[in-house]
Amino acid sequence: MTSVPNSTGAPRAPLFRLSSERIVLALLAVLILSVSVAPMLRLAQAALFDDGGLAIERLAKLFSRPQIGAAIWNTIHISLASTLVSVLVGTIFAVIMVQTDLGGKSALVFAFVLPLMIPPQVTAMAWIQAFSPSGPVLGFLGLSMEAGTRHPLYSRTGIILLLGIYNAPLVYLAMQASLRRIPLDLAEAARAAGAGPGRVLLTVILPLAHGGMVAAASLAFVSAIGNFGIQAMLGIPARVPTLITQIYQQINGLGPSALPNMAALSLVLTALTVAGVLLAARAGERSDTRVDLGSRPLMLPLGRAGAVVAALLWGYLIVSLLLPLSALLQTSLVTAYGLPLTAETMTLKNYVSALFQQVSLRDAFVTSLWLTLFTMGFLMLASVFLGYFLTWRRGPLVRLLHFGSEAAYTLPGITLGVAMILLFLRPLPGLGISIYGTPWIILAAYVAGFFALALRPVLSGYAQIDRALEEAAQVAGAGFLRRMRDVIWPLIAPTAIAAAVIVFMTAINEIQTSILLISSGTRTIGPMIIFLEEGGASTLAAAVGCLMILGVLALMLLSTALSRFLPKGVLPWQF
Amino acid sequence: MTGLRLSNIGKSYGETRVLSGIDLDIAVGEFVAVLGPSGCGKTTLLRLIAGFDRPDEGTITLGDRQVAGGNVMVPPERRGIGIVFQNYALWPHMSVADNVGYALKVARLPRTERETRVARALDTVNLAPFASRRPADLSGGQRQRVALARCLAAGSDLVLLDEPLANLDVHLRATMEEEFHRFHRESGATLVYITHDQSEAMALADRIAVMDKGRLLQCASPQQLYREPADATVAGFIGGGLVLPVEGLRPMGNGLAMADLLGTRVRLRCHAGETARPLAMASTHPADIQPVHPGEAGIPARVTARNYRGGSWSYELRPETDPSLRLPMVLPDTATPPEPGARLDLAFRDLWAIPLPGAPAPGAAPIPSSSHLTEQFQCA
Repeated sequence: MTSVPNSTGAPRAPLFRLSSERIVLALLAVLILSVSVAPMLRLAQAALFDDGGLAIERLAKLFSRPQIGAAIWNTIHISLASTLVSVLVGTIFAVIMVQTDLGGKSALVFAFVLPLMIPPQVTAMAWIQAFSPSGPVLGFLGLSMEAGTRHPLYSRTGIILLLGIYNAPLVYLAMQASLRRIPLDLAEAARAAGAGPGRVLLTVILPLAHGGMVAAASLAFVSAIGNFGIQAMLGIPARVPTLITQIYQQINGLGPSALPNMAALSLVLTALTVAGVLLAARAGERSDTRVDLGSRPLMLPLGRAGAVVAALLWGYLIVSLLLPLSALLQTSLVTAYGLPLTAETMTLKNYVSALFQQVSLRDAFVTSLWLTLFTMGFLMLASVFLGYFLTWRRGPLVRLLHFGSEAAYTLPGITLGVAMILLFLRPLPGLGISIYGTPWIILAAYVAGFFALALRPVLSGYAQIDRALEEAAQVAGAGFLRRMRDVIWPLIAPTAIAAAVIVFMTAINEIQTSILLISSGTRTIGPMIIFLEEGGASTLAAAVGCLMILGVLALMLLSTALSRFLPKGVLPWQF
Repeated sequence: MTGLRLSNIGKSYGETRVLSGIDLDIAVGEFVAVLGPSGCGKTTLLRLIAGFDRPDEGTITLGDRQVAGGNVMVPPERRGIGIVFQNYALWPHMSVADNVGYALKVARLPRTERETRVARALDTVNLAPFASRRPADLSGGQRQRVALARCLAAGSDLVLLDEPLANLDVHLRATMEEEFHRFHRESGATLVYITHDQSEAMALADRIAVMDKGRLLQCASPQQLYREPADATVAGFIGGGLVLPVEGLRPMGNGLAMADLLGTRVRLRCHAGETARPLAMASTHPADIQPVHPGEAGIPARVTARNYRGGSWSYELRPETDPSLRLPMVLPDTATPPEPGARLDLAFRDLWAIPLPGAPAPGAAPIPSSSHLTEQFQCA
């Protein structure tokens, strides 16, 4: 018997129809699987297997080296201790910002969150210059040490302190979100029961924010583990090896032969990161997930204490932000490091040199700029599409893609760098050329590493779009791409652009991943600070750092000015 | 001719069975309300008809075209239907005219024709002066009318309305009901109107499909639904109906039957195919319970509570033969109201013998024995 074709003329099973929606999803899948998932798998394979199978012997030898044991211990110790500092500082700041009626909060929050946007290597350099033994700050405080004394920051304590302060804004951001969700009536009930403000804080508010605090601590921990800029700038001169600096130094010194072992160290980094993330996830599950009632939080009147609190906060910001930055600025304005800044010594020579004369700097900047612009534009588009699937077309594949992009973002940048080298060292199949040593490998790493960064704000933007708007367009006869263009894009555009700005600010000064991927022919601007500092050109490095900060500041101010077009909570530095 | 036909539709989300065995035929130009409490599956039904979801079983036919079922699944954009969403779903970045004309633009109609049709649609809903406004500048009722104009301009043969009055103020509802009638007249489209409000459904629809727990219980005209419910759930749901047990049901032909209610012989209306049964259920409404006329025999009962409702009194009564039963009664406040504790003889002015489950009643489906629908809506 012959089969009779469907005579109704209705479309065939859509499972196998090539709709534009399916093509877009397939392209996203190919992209994320090849730049995010494949490198991770290759990393694990290179770390654990040699040609002859499981590399037990090699790994046993590697982990029995005292230096490696020290690096692992240092990484754990430094990350945990710095997390403690971050949680302390960030929580205090969050409680004051959310729960009190202190004036001038917008400026305080902006100044507090600003350091998060400054590349860590620049922050490290600024601190080094501000608190140098012979420098003016310690002298002013009467702590001046003899010339030749080791720099106080070149120590384990120095690394812990700086990492702690650097990540404090992360804790603040997570904590303020969770503090704001606590309904006012819970605190008011405690007040009515006779508890004073301090007691309410300790017995009601902080216990309720416990889940948020664990999540914040996990963020700070993961960020500290992966912070190459500070660990390298302070840890290498201090001879305090950590996993990250070990990976960097070994690959730099030994080349590709060090890759398998460094992949193994990257796996240890990954394991630590995953442990941190899982801890937060578990705390999140157990904590009370009450609905956000949208109530305004308790506003404690500070009264006269307000002035004292404001003075303390501004004092902290002066020490942690203003002093280092002014030291950096001072260094950038003189011809030789250590020269006092006077009317005679002041010069713009370093800036002229950084902007116009140094060919290597200019090339690095141009490379960074086009890589960043390309990444930004591409991710803006890709995250709008992936965000669509994640919000309204969830399925196993879409969830895998989300996981892949989140994983590539959460893992320390240097791990991603090692994975990229491993995957792309060999020529691309079919093309016969290797992208290792070219800007393209950096581009691939940026797309992988920053996808989640672009995706998160876009997802929160989607959450605010009524799905019926899309369905109405569908009913009106508009196909997938048409709906994307006519309905989704106009609604999501402000958020997508804000996401692009955040990607731009992060990628333009990026160091963690590109430090391993740059070659003599292809450099990015982020690592140049370390090279200049290592090469003794501190004043030039300071000028480059100041320019980076200026750029970041300009973008922050610009996007804040445009923030009324954005959904609430997209710009992290906005109160 | 068929406007919309659903045959044996079933749908599950994971383990949860949301719809089963839905059969519904809607004629071209008919106005059908789908009525049921939240969670009864009516929204899922709408999403299946629209094409946002795919039925697990059964087929959906629009006109003479099968759009879902088997290996056929026509996506929403090719079904040519219109939807009025609960929250209107007007695109905030487009003007009112652009919203109304979007489907025509997608269909690549020439600009002049597009403009004519948009203008005509806006005229019909009295919104012509608002063509260049943004949806954000309109009131709730005006937005609703833009949503209607959008369906009108698109010329959809089938329009689905998803609880369109749920977000409107009470005083706007009456006006909008009138608007829906007009829309129905002007467009000639088949209308499927999803709601949980039975007075809305009664006022608007040619037929009402009552749903509960994923099943279609009965689809009939509002009056038939009220007077001849197919089962106890529908009887208890519609118009605050009462379901009472009767004994010795005996059909007498010409649609009437006799039975014993609370020890008293009563006359009931019944289904033409009704059979004699020792036990049966009868349905009635509070308005049908009244004190007997002088000299008439009735069911003795005692007044246990009474409340003034403005213009009328509502009573709670307990029949003396079965004090566990509570009967409501409403009387105008013109006569002297009986006091609590007083004894009355009651007459049931209208009773309907609920047919046996599985009896061939139009649009009826087998019933689950008890339903939360009854509890939830009895007082509504």
